[in-house]
Amino acid sequence: MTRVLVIAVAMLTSAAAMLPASASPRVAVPTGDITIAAASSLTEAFGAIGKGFRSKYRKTSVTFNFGSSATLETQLEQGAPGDVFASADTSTMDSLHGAGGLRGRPVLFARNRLAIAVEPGNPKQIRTLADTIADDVRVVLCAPQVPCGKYALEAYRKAGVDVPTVPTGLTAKDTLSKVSLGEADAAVVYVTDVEAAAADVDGVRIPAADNVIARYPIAVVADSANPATARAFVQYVLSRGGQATLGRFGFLPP
Amino acid sequence: MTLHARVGLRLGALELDVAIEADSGKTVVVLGPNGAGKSTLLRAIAGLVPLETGRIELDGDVLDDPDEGVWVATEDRRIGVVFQDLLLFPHLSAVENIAFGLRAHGVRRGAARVEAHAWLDRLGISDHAASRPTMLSGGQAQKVALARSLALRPRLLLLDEPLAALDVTSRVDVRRELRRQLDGFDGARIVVTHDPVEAVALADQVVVIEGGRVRQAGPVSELRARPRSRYVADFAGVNLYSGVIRGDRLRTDDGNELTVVNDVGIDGPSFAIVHPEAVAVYPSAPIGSPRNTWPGTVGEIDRDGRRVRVRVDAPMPITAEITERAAAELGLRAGSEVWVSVKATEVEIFPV
Amino acid sequence: MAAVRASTRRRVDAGRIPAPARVLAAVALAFFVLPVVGLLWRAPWSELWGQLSDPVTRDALRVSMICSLGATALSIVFGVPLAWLLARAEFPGRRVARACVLLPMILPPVVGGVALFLAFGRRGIVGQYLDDWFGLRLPFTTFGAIVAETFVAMPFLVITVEAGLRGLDRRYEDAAATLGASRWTSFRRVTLPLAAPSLAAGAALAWARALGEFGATVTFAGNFQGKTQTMPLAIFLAFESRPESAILLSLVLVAVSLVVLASLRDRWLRL
Repeated sequence: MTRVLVIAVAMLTSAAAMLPASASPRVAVPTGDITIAAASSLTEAFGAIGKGFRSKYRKTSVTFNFGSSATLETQLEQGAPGDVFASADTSTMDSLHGAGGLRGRPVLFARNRLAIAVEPGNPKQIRTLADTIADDVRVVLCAPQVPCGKYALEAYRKAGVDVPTVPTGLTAKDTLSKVSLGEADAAVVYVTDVEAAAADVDGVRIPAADNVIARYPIAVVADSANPATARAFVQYVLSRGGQATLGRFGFLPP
Repeated sequence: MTLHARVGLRLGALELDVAIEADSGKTVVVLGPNGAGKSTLLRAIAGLVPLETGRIELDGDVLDDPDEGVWVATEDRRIGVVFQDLLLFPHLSAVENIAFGLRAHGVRRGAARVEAHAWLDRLGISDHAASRPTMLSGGQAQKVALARSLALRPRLLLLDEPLAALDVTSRVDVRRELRRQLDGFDGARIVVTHDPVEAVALADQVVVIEGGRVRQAGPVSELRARPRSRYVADFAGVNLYSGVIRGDRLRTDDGNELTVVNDVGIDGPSFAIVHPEAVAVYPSAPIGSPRNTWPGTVGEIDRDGRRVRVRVDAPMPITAEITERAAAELGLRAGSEVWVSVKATEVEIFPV
Repeated sequence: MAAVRASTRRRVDAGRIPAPARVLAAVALAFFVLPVVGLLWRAPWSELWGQLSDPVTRDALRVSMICSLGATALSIVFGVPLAWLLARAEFPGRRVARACVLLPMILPPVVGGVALFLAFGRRGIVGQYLDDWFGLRLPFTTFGAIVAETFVAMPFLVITVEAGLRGLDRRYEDAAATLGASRWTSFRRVTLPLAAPSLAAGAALAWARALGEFGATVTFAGNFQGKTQTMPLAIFLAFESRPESAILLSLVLVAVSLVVLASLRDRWLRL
């Protein structure tokens, strides 16, 4: 149902976007360069979206700056170049918004959930979060200072599991790599990370009751040098095409 | 304590082939120009450089014999060395430097220091016991270096250019002191130097090395009387010419001619020596019996008390020694045109 | 005229350095001083005590001290003989050997971390045997962090000590031999004491490098609070969530470093 709603909204928005074309003398086709600051968990999905955007608007070029949401937020706040900000949690976006760094308001464009990444074949037979803290299991989480880490701790809390101090990765991808490289047996990261690394890891579902929903907002940056094209990118992400791409990579609709 | 050494080795461009002997109670001075191989010779005797051929034997102990595969390491040879730069350990005081060898031989720290202090007393530099080498004067440092080696009562003492690092004024005093110390040492001594004055002052025997080979060996008087190379002759202060004698004419290597009296019937390559005192100097061409006369220009004039040594530049250069009075009468100064003459009878010749 | 002269004679001795050079030097000095000033300026001093009591801070400081000192110790134990070998021994491939030793100084530390990982990680060339035979693992252990820091810090010590040994007049060892000292005695009583200043300087450099190491540590040893999370790692993560924490942690690290460096006298740092 939600999906249908989203598609409907997207269609209406695109239709609305087309209207001014007939109502006013001329609408500028998006051109120029834009930089998208996006959370690392969006790396693969936005890569595909970028391609789609470029093939739609041939006169544009899109550069991506992937990193941890908090670092990106700080950089943008300090005036680093960027036209669009897509973050993995609402608090960093709110932080930038509060500092006056946004043009307009942020819009939620996707949701993500957590999953447990394990070695192919799940040799340690991990089925639940509780299994990850067994004596013979080496688990890594994201560092508590980054969103993925905060969510993981929340998930453990919801599942009623007391998690001891464990090694942590600096980013979700860094954390996942510990499993794919054989240094850890399990990692709690995003579903999308597990999908992106499907060749190297298997995923174990975390039940919805314990799972944490990460909400991904997107917005145009106040200091953008090319706000029109930036806005077009945001529209594209929210469009049917963009949403379909996101869904392919494991994201949930917003 | 006798040293018999035949040293054969090659170091870079230098080919050393030297036989040398030293006896207890005697000082042998190895004299030669720079690069002749003197320091290398010492290093070979000390064991810092191995022989390629030859044999080093000290007091009946074979120290190095490549043919028989015998090799004794430096630290076991009981040979003291005073190096050219002294090489006092900069991080140790004077007394600690002297005590170093004793402690290396297992003497306890306290006993070693006591003995080191005794040496400092003996040499008159106790005041500087606690000083670092950089704070010592040239002469004091030399004494410490000497004491450092002597404290171990070595069988043989090697000194490499012991006075080279000193300035001219201290050299005389230190040389005298060194002579005294060496005379009081009952082992054998070998001193290396390039300074002929040093050689004369210290030597009982002189061995002259040039180009890695022994040119001449013997007491100082013999070297002065019969020098066998330009270097040795310069050392002795005589005029030396080498050439070929036919009949009573010596044709020098650079094409000049001297008339000589050839009693002995020398024929072929030979040396001729003319003592400076036998050279007469004239303001113009002389008439009379001298066969060997030629003109020249006065180069250097060296006054040594009442004697004046005059170097005369000419196709055949020569040094003359005349009285002060004569020099004054001639009004000699650098650049003056003079004539020199040497009687044929005054030319000493001997075969190569 | 005389009055002007007197007032311009200052106690500061500029050492006859020409004005343009002095200006450039001042700029360089400012370049180094400003970041510290910036930290001091922006530090939220009221939170200092809270920050210092935070277990994250304490763990990070403890881990940093243990690892940097451990890395320095390992660098000395293995680095001094290596320096001696490079300075004195003639062997084929010496140049290549020296180049390999210097590599960590040129490469980005992360590369070093990756290389260590490929060698000593659980699936690494050597690491897999360490794990299978001894159950010994390096990533996520303090020892692993020490290894990572040693990798980047030891070259500094080796290069300094090698230069010091080369600069030593070998004839002092000859002199010692003529005085009856064995090789070992000569090394112990002559070579080492004379090389001590360069050893001290090398150790100081190695320690400083180890303390500030980030890339190799995080790539190889990972980020494990209380075990491998050193101050640089803690600061990096603090910057993600609370920049104010990062400022305070940075100041703590600067303070500790300054204390140690200042206590090393000038003459020990002379190479």
